[in-house]
Amino acid sequence: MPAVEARRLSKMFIVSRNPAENLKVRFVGLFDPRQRERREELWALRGVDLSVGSGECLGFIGPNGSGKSTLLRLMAGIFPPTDGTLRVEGRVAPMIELGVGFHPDLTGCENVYLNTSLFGLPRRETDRLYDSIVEFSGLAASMDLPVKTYSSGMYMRLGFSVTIHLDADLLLIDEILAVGDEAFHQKCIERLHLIRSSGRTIVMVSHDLALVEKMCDRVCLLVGGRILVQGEPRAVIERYHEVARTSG
Amino acid sequence: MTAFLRDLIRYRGLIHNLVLRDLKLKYRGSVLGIIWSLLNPLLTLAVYSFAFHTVLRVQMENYAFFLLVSLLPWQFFSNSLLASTGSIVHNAHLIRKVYFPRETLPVSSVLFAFAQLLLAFAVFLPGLLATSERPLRWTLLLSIPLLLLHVVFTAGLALLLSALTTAFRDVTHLTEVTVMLLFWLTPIVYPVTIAPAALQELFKANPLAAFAIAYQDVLFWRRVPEAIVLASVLVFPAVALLVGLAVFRRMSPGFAERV
Repeated sequence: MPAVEARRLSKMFIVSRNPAENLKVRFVGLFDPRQRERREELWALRGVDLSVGSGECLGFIGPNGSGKSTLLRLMAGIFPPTDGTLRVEGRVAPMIELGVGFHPDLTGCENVYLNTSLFGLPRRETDRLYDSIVEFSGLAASMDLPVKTYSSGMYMRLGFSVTIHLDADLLLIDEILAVGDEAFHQKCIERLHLIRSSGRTIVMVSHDLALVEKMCDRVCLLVGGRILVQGEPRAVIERYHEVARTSG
Repeated sequence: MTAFLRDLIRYRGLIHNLVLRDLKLKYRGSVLGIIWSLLNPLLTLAVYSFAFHTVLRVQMENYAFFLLVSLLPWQFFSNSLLASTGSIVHNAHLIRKVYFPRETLPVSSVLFAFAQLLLAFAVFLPGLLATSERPLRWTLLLSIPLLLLHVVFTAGLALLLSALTTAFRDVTHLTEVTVMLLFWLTPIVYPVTIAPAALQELFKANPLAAFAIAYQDVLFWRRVPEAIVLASVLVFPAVALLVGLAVFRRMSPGFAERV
């Protein structure tokens, strides 16, 4: 059974220019057309058909604003689809942003517990994983410090370490592999390879084409909310270069 | 309804951590810390006692005790609602980045306020019961189901308000002024019996007044509340929860786009 199945999946956002949220702005808009609110439909995804096999590593590439992150958020259950259907099997670990919900005044340890519970992990499970999370992040000496004292690299290392310990069936990775220094980056990539070879499904969005080519079994090129082409990484990346040349 | 309970149970760790986070953060850096949770009602109580008992001369035995039994639950109610209006919009960073049952946010706002109510009751009640001349009666135990019904009632309203705030930010301001005004329309600083007879019946149909009267009955007067009050505190929580949950469920898929 496929891990992710999308049929004619579309997502539309309403964007307002000069959002008229209160009466005053509306009143001014009556007289000054430049300050009038204009609502527009923005179709971030248009009829995407997609099937991700269990255990597959799928990459999304494409220019900014092509709908890659929106697609990932739909898979994570954050946005509902506007049209079409989307089915996701099993537990999802969204790595859309690292350290979501970290509070600057709480310690590293407190934040780990808060963060894992956000992903629905019971407390006992976190107790069991805690040492491994700390070890992977390499921050054993800083766990009792408030995270506001962390460097941005440390912050991301802790966030990354929590998410890869979630033991999910599907990992959604949004452009977050530029984590920490070179050594930690290597460690993350190795860990992802390990997760991949253990049969977990990975869907990733990245502009790091070399990484995409190395990691993914299949790549989709997304342009203007549609899948332009999908298939073997090298060929799709080649096509992306062509698209970028003609549009740039 | 069952889905709601299942989500709450599955994500109890999150609720626990959110409440704990708020408790830790609220008093972090203050010298007196959690003692403020007690000082705040105590100071309010002192000033209200002075204003109503000493100056305006509300004639009552043991007025401070009378005031406390419904003032503390009121503070729980009002703090819950004020916190819950912002519970979705102020957690936009979470809602836009990860999926979890959104109900946990207003529910944990309510439980955070409830934890403070329990603390205050645990500290103040034994002393007051010991000094009161009225004999201890079994009706005191009715306060336990009453507290639970109060939580359900408040959670229902919290769900409703937190969802509506994502569409209309005005709800925050409206709630603020409404709660403040309702305080004076609820028999907390005065016993309902000093109101004109025609008004008394009206009071009893108001769920907020019903809760205040019920607390006063079981904890202060030590008697079983009359039927209409009992009916109110049973029916309104059920209605509030059903309506609140229905609205919340309808609106929650759109939260990530609206906050």
